[in-house]
Amino acid sequence: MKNQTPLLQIINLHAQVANGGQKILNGLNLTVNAGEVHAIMGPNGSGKSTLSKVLAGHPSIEVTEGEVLYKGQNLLGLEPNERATAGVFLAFQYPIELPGVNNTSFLRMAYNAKQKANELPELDEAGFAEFLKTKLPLVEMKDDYLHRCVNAGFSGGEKKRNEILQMAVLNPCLSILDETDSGLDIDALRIVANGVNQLMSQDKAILLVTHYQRLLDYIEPTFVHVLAQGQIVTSGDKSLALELEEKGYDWLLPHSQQVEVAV
Amino acid sequence: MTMTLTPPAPETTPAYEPSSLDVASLLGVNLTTELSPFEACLDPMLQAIIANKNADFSALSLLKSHSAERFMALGLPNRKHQEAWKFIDLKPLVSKPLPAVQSKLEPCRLPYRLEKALKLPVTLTVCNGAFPKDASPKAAAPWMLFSQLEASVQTAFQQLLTEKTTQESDPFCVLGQALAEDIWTLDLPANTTLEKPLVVYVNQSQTSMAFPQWAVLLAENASATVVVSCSSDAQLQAYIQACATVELAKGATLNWVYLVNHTSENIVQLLNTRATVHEKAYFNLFAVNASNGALLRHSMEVRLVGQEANATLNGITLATGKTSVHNHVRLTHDAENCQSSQIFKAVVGDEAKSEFDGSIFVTTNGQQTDAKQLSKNMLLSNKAKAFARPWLNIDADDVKCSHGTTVGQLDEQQLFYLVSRGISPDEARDVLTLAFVVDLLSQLENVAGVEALKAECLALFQEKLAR
Repeated sequence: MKNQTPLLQIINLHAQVANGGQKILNGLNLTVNAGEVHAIMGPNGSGKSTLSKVLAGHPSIEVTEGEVLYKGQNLLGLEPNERATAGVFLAFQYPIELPGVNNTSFLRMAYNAKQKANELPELDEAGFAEFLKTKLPLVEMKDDYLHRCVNAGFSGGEKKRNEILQMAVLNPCLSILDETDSGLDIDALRIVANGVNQLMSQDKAILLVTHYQRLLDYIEPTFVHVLAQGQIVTSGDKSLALELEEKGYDWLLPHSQQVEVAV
Repeated sequence: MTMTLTPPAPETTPAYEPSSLDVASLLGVNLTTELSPFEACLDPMLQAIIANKNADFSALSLLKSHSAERFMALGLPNRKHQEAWKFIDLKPLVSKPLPAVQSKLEPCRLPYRLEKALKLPVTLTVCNGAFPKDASPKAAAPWMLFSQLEASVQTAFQQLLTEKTTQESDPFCVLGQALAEDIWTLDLPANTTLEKPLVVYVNQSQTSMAFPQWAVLLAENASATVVVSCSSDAQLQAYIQACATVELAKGATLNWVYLVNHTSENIVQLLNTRATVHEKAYFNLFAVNASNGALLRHSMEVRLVGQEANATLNGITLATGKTSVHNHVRLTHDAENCQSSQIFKAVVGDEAKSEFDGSIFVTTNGQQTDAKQLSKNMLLSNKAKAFARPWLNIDADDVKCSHGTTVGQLDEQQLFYLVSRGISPDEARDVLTLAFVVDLLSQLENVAGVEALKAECLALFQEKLAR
């Protein structure tokens, strides 16, 4: 244990689709310390994306029971924008297109919101342009992405790279990457993974939600967890991912209770 | 060609008959025997104008009396029977009497901000409906400034305006012309290009009625850009009836930008734009409205009468509070190979109301027409209302016409995306609202000299959303 307080502590988390919808998380427990990379794997419908949404504060999911502590503080009591300015970042599985919103302005707005919340100096247009220039090589992005509208007309790979660029700008303590590898070709996967690795440090942690072992070849996890039916059913080190690749998830699931939930 | 003005034979002044039925239905009270306060206030003014016709045969007096008679023939609109007025509540106008136009020129707060944004001086200031009397055309380039009707080459304008008045079906349009102190004209000779936009500033600083009128004649291949900015001081009450009559000869180009931004909630502004576009001429209208006024109606009637004539009509409305904004378009394709495009966007918040009523008429002459019309609306609150009524009326058989409308709200997923990056929900809403109109605002960048208006409008919208 490097720090006294874990970066993220999820205790007996129960969550369902808002307004009395389907129950998805059923007593999930997870502790993430600074310096660790946790991979969350699991079959479709096991609750992986729901967990990401709960942590980011998406209004479509409602927490019915349990606690989430971020740096020892109640994360669920914070508004989504407060979570972001406190250092929690969600890289979207399907990044949203914002036609009419300039990418650079958007990044600057986000950066300044975080600076302001932390009582740090904000950057003007020129200052931010300089700052941004240093971040672009991380995701091998060209300048012209910045002049376009946020994700509008971007390819799948460009959208994911733009997510990591936002991560680079916001420099979060806890990053949740929700299937960031999906829809990426091998080159793009390498670029994205390299970007993430460069952003990782001993005072940060990453929650890596993924279907495939391949991403873990690039971003090495400290722990691998299998999520099924809204709970973590087994945990292990990197070798667990290889075992899953070989055997699938079936051997971990009680068949009679297998559920298909698409969220 | 010149037209001689012959004094008309003396005739009896027609008695003014109040359109009592309409007013009663508008006010919801029984007024069958009484004039509405608005009409009671107009009545003596119109009578005086008609009486003045025989005493003074100036071009303006004749036109005014002709318009007054036309108004009396048309009467106030009836919401029940006239489709165009169905969604317009004239109560803020007809229920309160207002003082007549002030001929005295009051010192106006100058639109420093607009001047600064455009880096251009204001060409013409209209204050409380009164035009400056001393703004004489410069000798070197007489067309460089607007001039008064009496001072300009009268015949062409008088002929044009008289003809238009006879055909006009909008009572308020002719009323404005009847009560106007003067009509300001821009007469651009052939092959002349105005390098810089003309900036007209219409300011209201006291409670009154105001009737600014413009007539613009561009000869062959002439081109000009006019920016009209309308604003008013806080809380005052006013009725502004403005009209721009435009005639574009072969190959002429006119860019006309309206920027309406009244601070006061008690302003009724009825705006009329009438344009006739001849062969290969281009009329480009851009109307931005961020007014707080009670009612704003912009009636646009454009006729494409020569081959390959082209018209673009764009409008952006940001309506909040209890504002009611109406954009009415009648665009006629009356010649072959003409093009037209209309895009109207409205953002409606609070208890505001926005209406788009647009018709494209293609006559049997309008073969090979290419006409597009789009109305997009965004509602920001549960009490906001948007009405969209796109019409097509096609009598030719070889045309390309499209029309469409959308009404929506801010996208929850987009909002969450912004918020998940640390941006506050309020700021996120503003960002997405501005994003909705920004692509249309970008079209201002295509008009030389007014590029800076895009940023100015965005700033204006931002301020208004923040209020």
